[in-house]
Amino acid sequence: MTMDLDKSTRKPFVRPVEASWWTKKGFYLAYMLREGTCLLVLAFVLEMLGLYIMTALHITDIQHMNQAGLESLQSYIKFLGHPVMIAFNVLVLIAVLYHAFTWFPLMPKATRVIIKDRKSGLYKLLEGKYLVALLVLAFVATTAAGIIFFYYPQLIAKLLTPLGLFEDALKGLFGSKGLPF
Amino acid sequence: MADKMKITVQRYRPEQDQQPWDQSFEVEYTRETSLLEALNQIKDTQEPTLSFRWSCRMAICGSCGMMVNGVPKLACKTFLRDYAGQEMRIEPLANFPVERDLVVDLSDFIEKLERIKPYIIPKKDEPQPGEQREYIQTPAQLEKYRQFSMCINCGICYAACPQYKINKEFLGPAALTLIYRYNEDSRDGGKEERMKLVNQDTGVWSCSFVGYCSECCPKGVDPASAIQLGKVESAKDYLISMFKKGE
Repeated sequence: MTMDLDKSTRKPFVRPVEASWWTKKGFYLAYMLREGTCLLVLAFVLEMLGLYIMTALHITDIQHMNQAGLESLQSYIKFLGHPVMIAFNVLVLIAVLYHAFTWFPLMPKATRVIIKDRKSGLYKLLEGKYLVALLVLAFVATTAAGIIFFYYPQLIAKLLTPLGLFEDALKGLFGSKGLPF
Repeated sequence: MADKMKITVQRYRPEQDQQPWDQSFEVEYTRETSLLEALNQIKDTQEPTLSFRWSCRMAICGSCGMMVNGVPKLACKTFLRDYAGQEMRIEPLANFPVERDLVVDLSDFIEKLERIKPYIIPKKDEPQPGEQREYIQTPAQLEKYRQFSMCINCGICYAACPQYKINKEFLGPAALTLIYRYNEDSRDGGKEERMKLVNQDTGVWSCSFVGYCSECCPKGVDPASAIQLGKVESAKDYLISMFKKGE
């Protein structure tokens, strides 16, 4: 074919973006899974909201719950004990751990520590310190649990009774006559 | 001894093709053969019309970015020996319009580079360009941005970025990295001006921290890090502006 030197033959080709682009590469897929864990967390929040509705709305004062509340709470706990719900909760736990373990190594990217004129080893040192993260998390969680248990022991006891858990321990706490409600 | 590699190249000739098509070649290679050399070998001995950009052959000019089996790489820094036993599929750099064969139109990226003013803007109370002056910088001050100044503008991070793929308005990894690089330079006074670009929708907040740009960067610049640090700066900027009158 002959070249027409007076005319440009430019015709840039724009490649289409497929909706499935993120399935084509492991790196993108891992990212999308990490972001997708938020949907499971949302479902878990709704589950907790159910627990809240079943209990808090029937509490007449800070330490007492009426009969209707106790019944609805028991039925909800029974619902939570269903194998499907337990499987769902295990799935949520796996998802949250996946998010935490893939997110944590990225965090040093958002910090910059310069010591003795060099980008510090802290940057590298922080990578993969899961144990430190777990200890901090455990400290925060136990402190929160301790505060709740200290101020609302009866409520905790009431929540645990239908499950039949820690019966002896609760009796020891509140006397052999049973719970004070 | 020379092994053989099957290389499939995506071709596109605007004057006669409606869309790209594939052409396969067989090349001999040794331990030292780079993809760029293999492409030149194809051009010299098999297909003289094959078009691709290159210049320095040593990962500093940033011309030969292309997709190698779906991963954005510099052809001069990619060696056939690492693909022994496989085939290679070469496509033009993703997320840019294809001009011809492996040549893409980078003008959007270049325009963004210009927009962020990637040069030192003197502080207002200091001597302006042309006036004689020496700038003193400590090693610690240099270290703040040194890594981010290693960018060679190859565009590989744009080909790696899914946010740029779906939104071409996004300033993108390299431009945002260079903003951070100049803002953190102790000799620079242009931060206030550049923060407007950082703060807007198409700035750092369009990044969702996929992190593939840093994975692919051939110079170890780590653009994802610069963007996250840019988010910290943007948040501080927002907070400070709340306490300033008349803004």
